[in-house]
Amino acid sequence: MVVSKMNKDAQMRAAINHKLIETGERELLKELLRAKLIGCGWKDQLKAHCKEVIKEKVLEHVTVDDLVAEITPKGRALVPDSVKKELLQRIRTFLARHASL
Amino acid sequence: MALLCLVPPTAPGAARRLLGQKAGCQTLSPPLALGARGKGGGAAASGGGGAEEAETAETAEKAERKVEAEAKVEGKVEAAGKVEAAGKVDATGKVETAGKVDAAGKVETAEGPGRRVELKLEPEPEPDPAREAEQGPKGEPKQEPEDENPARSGGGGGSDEVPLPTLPSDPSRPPDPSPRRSRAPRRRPRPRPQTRLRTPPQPRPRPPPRPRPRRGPGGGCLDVDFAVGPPGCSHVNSFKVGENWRQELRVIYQCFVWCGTPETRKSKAKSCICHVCGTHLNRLHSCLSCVFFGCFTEKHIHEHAETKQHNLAVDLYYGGIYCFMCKDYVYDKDIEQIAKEEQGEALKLQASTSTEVSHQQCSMPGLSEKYPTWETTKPELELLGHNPRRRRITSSFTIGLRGLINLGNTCFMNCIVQALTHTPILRDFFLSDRHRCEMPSPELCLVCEMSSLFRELYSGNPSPHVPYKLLHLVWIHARHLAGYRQQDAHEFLIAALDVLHRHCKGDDAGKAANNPNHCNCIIDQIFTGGLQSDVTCQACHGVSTTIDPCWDISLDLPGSCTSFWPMSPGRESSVNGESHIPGITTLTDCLRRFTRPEHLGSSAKIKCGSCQSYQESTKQLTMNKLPVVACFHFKRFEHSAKQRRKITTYISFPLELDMTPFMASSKESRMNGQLQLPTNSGNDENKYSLFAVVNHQGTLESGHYTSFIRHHKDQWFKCDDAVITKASIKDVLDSEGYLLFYHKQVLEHESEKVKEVNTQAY
Repeated sequence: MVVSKMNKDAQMRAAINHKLIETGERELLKELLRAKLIGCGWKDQLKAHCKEVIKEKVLEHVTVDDLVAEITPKGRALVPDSVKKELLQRIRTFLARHASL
Repeated sequence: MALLCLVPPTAPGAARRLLGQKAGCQTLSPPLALGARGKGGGAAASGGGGAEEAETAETAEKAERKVEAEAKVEGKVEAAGKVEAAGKVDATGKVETAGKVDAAGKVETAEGPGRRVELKLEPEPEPDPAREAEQGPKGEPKQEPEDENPARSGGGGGSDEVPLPTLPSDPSRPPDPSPRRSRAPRRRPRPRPQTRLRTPPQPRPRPPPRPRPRRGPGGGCLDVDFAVGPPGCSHVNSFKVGENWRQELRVIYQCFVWCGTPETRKSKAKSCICHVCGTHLNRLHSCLSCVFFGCFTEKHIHEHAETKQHNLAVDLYYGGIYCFMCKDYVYDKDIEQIAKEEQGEALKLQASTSTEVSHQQCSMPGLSEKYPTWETTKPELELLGHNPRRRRITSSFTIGLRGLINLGNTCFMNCIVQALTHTPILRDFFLSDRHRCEMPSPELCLVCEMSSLFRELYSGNPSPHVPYKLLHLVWIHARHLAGYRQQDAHEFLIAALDVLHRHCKGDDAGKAANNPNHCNCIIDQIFTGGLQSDVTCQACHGVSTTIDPCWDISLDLPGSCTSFWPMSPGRESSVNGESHIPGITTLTDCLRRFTRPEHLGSSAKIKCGSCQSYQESTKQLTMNKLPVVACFHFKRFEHSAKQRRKITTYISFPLELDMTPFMASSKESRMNGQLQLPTNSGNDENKYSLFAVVNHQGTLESGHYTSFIRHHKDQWFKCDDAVITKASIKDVLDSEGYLLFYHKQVLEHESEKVKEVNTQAY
């Protein structure tokens, strides 16, 4: 494939991702993240923001892409630090278990 | 003329409530009344007369006035005053107003030339009273069921001066009681100074208008109905030909989107990277017509679509179908259905086939049970129809507070019931109907009775409940508590939990599957903690550890003849924010004592496994696993050889408790003297909030139990059998305390015992 095009960093990321998917940990983390984001109100906040964006733009033809472009920065910014920390922690723990990586 | 919807209710219900008022009943809430009447106008003065049916002449008169008024406002009237007073207004051509007046004496309001304004708003089930009130002065015959006309006779619509029967933002309904949904989409209420009378122009909350047909640059009209998928675009339709597309699609989902089995996971890990740039990120998509993966952000999948003329791709993260011709995600009903099924399957499989050890400890299938969308079924719709009354949950609602009649020294039972029914997570379990009874005779099932008890207490009925059935079941299942003698509340608690646990067979399957010792019933999920006992041999320092399940922690108190208090209470500063007055013992003191290493003495030597002989040892109790609900029991009733008495020492307990220092994992730091925790240690996992306190007044022989329970976040109520009174936090914290109930503040996700996922209990 095109592995050579990627630098070391990306390679590492790909390898980690590979392991995450294989073990099913990725799905679990995804669900966990989803639940946390709902629980801390992030989903609702962003939903409200979406509505505002749509209202402001008064677009009859809003595409998913338009929305994604608009709300991604805010979405990223709104994620609470505690959530980030926790996920990071879990990934670390996971990696520790699979030290052979 | 009063009842108009004058202030935007914060909930549609409020508006409806307003409308429910009878004609003539002018009891509007103050802000409303004023605003409404302000701009009155002649007709308004005749107010109140709600139900009058005016004569046609009057009608015409009003029509005339209205037209005039409207004319003034609109400035478009050429024929002011030319209205014939024949009881009808012969409109066309004679009066040019902002609206037209038709022959039936009705006037259509218009916002601007030629534009018809729809003045009705909410489909309201409350018909006539409001309507009558509205239309009183106009006297338009209200019996026009299908009258869609925005204005009644005389209801000239536009004018500022004349009361309108129904204002655009007015949830009052025109004479039609039939459900409104079938009507054409209504326009959003816009501020219309001309038509709006006394009402400040405010958008009303209303059901969202029917979604308008969406675009499709490439193709057809994508009528997006937000419920379940509508027909997708034409390009998707051309994909859905032949017999195999379903199966092929399923394979794509199973292999690349939602992988349930280890094999598919492996293949996904390996193959799902962008064929152009190799990334696994950037919104990877898979082409639906061939084996190609491309990332979205860098437009690699777009390039593929263009060159190969393959119009459809599926998002590997969410499973959505993207159409390159329509340039957007399309939602096809059939495909959505397939996607939903595959996702569900995968989630179920995933939990059981995961190779991760930590996952395997999650013995429950459906670990990440997706929250399915709720779509009303026919019977549910009917039920909703029969029960239109909406409950507004405010901070002052008292649902859940209900007294319990004392059936003869049953206060010990009543206060435990109050505590249990106000245990947030238990309440959630029962109110969401999670119990599936598998007892041979359900009428003997205590869990069913608990369920019914929850329903009773949360029904909104304020009169005290008579728990005779519960008492009866307790007598049957816990013989030692039968009879009308006074009993110990703590004993009752343990007995009740035991019976509930035994009867919980039907719930939460999978309990015996992986671990026969480990029941997964709701009682165990909530109340069971793990008490770790470490016995250290003084000779070889080998430690033998056992962990036992426990439902509560019984604490010795200072002053009891069996207790041994090495440290003077008050020496160490408070860890948990308890009010620490020297001389007053705190809950933390008791816990500290409970978890201290204890020398067992030479008369109680334990056989050490490694030394192979009896040695002196120390024993230490700590918490290995914390329960969701921690129950602390103060051993106030002393039955020793010497005496039988009640220890009434006041023990101070906190509103919030951090159990970290008492955990098995904290033993090291404790030995090094670091018992103190910084108050904002990032770890919230072990923090608890007090939610119920059971108190005993009286002596060992005779006394009375009462309880304090927490309602909402900050409100406390004292429950004394049938009498519930509001209490202050101070009352609670100053009380003696016999049983204390604490609830974990943050519930863990992968503690799959608890299906709640990271929600704050309060």
